Amino acid sequence: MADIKVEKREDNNIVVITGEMTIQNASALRDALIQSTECAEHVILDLKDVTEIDLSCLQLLCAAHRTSVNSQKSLKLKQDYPEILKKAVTEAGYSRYFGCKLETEKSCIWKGI
Amino acid sequence: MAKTILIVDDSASMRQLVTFALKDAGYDVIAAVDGKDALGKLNGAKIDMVVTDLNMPNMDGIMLIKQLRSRPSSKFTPVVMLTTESQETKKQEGKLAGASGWIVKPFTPEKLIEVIKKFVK
Amino acid sequence: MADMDKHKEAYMEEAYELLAELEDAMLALEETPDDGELIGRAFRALHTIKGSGSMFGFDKIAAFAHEVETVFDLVRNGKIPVTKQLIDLTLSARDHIKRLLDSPDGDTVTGGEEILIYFRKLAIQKEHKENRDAVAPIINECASKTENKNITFRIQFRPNPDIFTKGIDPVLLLDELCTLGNCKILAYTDAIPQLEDIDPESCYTYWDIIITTSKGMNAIKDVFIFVEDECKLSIDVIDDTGKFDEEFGNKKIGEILIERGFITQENLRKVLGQQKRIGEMLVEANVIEPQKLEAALSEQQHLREIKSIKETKQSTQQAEAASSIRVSSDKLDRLVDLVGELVTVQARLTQTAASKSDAELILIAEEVERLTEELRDNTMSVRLVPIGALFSKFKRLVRDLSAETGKEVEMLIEGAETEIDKTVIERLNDPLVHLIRNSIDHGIEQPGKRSSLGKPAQGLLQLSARHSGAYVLIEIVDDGAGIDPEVIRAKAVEKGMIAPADDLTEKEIFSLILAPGFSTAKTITNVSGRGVGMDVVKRAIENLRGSIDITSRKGVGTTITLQLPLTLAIIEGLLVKIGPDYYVMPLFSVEECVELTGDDIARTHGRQIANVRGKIVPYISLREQFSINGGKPSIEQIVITSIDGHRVGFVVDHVIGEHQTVIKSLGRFYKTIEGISGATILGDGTVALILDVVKLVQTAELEEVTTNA
Repeated sequence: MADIKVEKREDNNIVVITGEMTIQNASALRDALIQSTECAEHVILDLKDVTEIDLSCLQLLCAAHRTSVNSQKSLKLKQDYPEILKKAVTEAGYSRYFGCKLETEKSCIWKGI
Repeated sequence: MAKTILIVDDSASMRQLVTFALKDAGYDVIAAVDGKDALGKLNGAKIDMVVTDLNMPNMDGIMLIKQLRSRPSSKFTPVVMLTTESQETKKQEGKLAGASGWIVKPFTPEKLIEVIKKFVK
Repeated sequence: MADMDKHKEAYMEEAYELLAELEDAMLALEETPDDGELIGRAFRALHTIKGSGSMFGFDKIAAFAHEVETVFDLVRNGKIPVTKQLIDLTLSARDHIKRLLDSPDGDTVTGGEEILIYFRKLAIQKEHKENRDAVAPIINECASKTENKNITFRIQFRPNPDIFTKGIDPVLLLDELCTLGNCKILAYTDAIPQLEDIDPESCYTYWDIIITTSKGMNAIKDVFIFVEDECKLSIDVIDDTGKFDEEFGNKKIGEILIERGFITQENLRKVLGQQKRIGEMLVEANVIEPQKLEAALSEQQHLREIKSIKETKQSTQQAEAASSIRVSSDKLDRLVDLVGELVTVQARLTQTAASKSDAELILIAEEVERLTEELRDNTMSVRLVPIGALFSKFKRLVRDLSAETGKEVEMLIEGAETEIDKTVIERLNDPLVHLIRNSIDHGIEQPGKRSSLGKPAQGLLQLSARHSGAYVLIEIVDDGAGIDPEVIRAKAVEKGMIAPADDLTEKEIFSLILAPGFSTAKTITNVSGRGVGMDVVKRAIENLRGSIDITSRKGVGTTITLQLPLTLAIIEGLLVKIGPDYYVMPLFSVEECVELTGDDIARTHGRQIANVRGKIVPYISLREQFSINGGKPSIEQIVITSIDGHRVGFVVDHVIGEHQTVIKSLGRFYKTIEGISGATILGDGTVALILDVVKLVQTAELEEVTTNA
C-alpha cells in the first residue's frame, strides 16, 4: 500500500509519500498527486519513507514535474531520498546530465540522482 | 523480504519439484492443484508471481490467466506457463490471455530460476 | 611435404621452450608446492606438447605427454598434492620427452614406460571416484572458445504501452542485461505526458542500451525472449572487432550524434565556433534535444570505459607475452648484414658530401647518418635477448650436481633481465656449464666440512649479469674453499709450466689455471674433469671476443668474471694504417699508443722491445709480419695491447682513430689465415682487415721459439 499526506506550509506544500510506489498503486497515486499539487505553487516531494518504487511510478513523478513546469510552478524532490529510489532511477536509466526538453530552469528531478 | 510465488499444477511430483527449486532459491512458495484452487488461495494473500501448468482439471491454466488479469490485485502479477514442445497453439492462447512468459517442460531447476528472475527480483 | 617439415620444426622449437617452462615450473614448485599458477603453467605446457605433438605426427610424444597431463589435470584440480616424488617424476618425464624430441626416430629411446607406470599409479588412485569431474573441464573449454570475443551492441528497446498488464517489468530485463557485460542504460522520457493525461498503467518509457559483452547476440535476444511480441527491439553491433582502437574509444560526441542521425554535420559546424562543451552548445543552439544528447553521451562514456578496460587488459597481456614474435636467426642475420652495408654507404655519403661542400647535401648526409645510427642500434637490439633463460637452465644443472655430489647448493640469480646478443648466449652455454661444474665440484665443500668450518651447510652459488659499457659482465661466485695459489704454483712447477724460481703475482698464478693442460682435481669425478680443461673455456670466451678473470680467497670462495661484448656483429676498433692498407684492432685490448722513432730502434740493437715509461714492452712489427713492402715512415706508432695480462705492442705506420664497425666474415677461402678475424668496409669503400691480436702474439711467440732453436 501507498499513502500520500500533504503538509501545507506558507510558501510550499510538502507531499509525503510512504509505502510501495508500485504499479498496483499507480492509479491511486496519480490521483493523489494531482490533488496535492494542484493548488500549490511550490511542491516538495518527500520520498524518504517509500519502500519500493517501480518504473510506472518513476513515470508518474516525471509527469508531475512536467505538469508543474508547464503551469510555471515548481516541483522538487526532498534531498534525503532513499537508497531504493537511487537504485530504481539508475536501473531504469533515468539518471540525467541534462534535463528534458521541457527544461527551462534546469529543475529536472533526476539530475544528480 | 522474500517474494511469494504460487505454483499451480495438478501433478504432485511437478508441484514438489518446482516448490523445492523455488524454496532452494529463497522464495516463499504456495502450491495449488488447479486454477480454482489457485484463485481461492490468492484471495487475501500477497502473491508476487504465479507459475502455472496449462492442462488441469476444474480450471485450466488459460482460464486462470484470464481470471488473474481481470482482478485488480493480480492485474500486473507475472504469470509463467509450463508448456511442452507440442503445445505451441496453447502457448499462443496463453500469451493472448496475458501470460508473461513460459517454460518448456522438461526443465532444470536452474532454467526455472533463470526465468523467474526475469519477473521478480 | 616440405611444408610439413617446416611445421615439425616449429613444433620442436616450441616443444623445447615448453619443456624449459615445465622444468622451471617444477623447480619453482619445490619452493611453493601450493602455487596454482605454477601448476597451471605445467599443465598447459604438457597440454600443448601433447596437442600439437599429435597434430604434427609426434605420436610417441603425444601419447607419453597425455598420461603425464592426465595426472597434472588432477593436480590442477587439487586431487593430487604436489610432492617431491611428483616433481622428480615430472622432471624425468620432461627429460624423456626431450630425448624423444632429440632423436629423429623415437624407437631407440627407452625408459618411458617405466616413468609412466608411476604416473599411472598416481592417476588410478584418484580415477574411479573422479570420473564426473574429468568431463567438466572439457565442456568448459569448448564453451569458452565461442564466448570470449567482446562485442559492443546498441540496443533500442521500446516496450508496448500495455507491457505492465502482462506482468512484465521492463527494468528487470535491463537488470538482466547488465549481468551480461558492461552496460549503459538511458531511458527516454519524452513520451511521458502530463500528470492529468497520463495513464498510470501504461509504459511510456523507452531505452537506448549500449552493452559490451562476450556472450554474443543470442544471449541478448534471450533476455528479451518473452517480450518479442510486446515491444520494438533492435540490436545492432557497433563494434565487433573485440578490440577498441584509438579512434573508436575516443569517439567525439559530435561523431556519435551524427552517426545516430540526431544532428547534421552542418548543425554541428555551426555551433563549433563557441568555446563550450560541445553538448551544451548543441542544446543551447537548439539543434538537438537534451535526452538524445544524453543517449549519445552515455554511449561515449561507455566506449571510454570499455577502452580503458581494454587497455589495462592489453597491457597485462603484453606483459605476459613478452617473447611473442618468432623470427628465424637467418632473417636477423640478413638484416644485420644489410644494416652493415647501409652504414658503409652512409659513411661514403658523409665523406662525399663533405668533399663537395654542398650545404644541402651535407644536411641530408647528416640526416641519413642519424637515421642509420638509430636503425643500427635498433637492429642490434633486436638480436639481444635476456640472459635469464640461459641462467635458469642452470637451476636444473645445479640441482642435479648437488644430488650427485651430495653437496647442498643454493643457486641465486641476479640480473636475469640483462640483455646480450643471442649468438653470444648460445655460445655461452658450454663454458658456463663447465664453470658451474667446477664451482660445485672443486669449490663448494661437503656439508659436514662446511659446518666444521663454521660456514652454513648449504653452499651458495651466485650467477649474475650486468651491463658495463659495450660489455656484459657475468660473474660466477661461490662461497666454497677458494683456490690455494701455492697448490696451483706447485702444480705448474710440476708440469713444467713455470720455473720454481719464477716470481708470479697472484693474478698470474690464477691465470695458469686457464692455460692448456692444467687440471687441479685430485680425482676425476663424473662432474668435472671430463678431460676438458679451463683452457677450453678460455678459448670459447675469447672466441666471443670476451675475457675471463679469476679472483679467489682461500677458504672464502672464488669469483670468475666473464667480460663479453654485447654483440658480435659490431666491433669497437682502432683503425690503423700500414702502407696503403687499413687494419682494425679490437679496442678492448688496446691500452695506449706510443711513438717509435728510428733512434728508439737503434737503441735496442735490433731487439723488438720498447721502453715505455721505464717498462720494457716487446712489440711485433706488423709491416714485417704481413711482409708489406715500401718505405716506412720515420716515426712509426706502437699500439700497446694487453693480452693475458702481458703488454705487447704492435707497430703500425699511422693510427687513424677509433672506429665502430660492422664485422664481415671472410670467405671460406680465407678462414685459415691466422691473425685475421674478419673484415670491414670503410666509408670510402676500402676494405680493412680486423686483426686477431691474440693469435698474432701466439704466432710470433712460436716463431721466436723456432728461430731460437
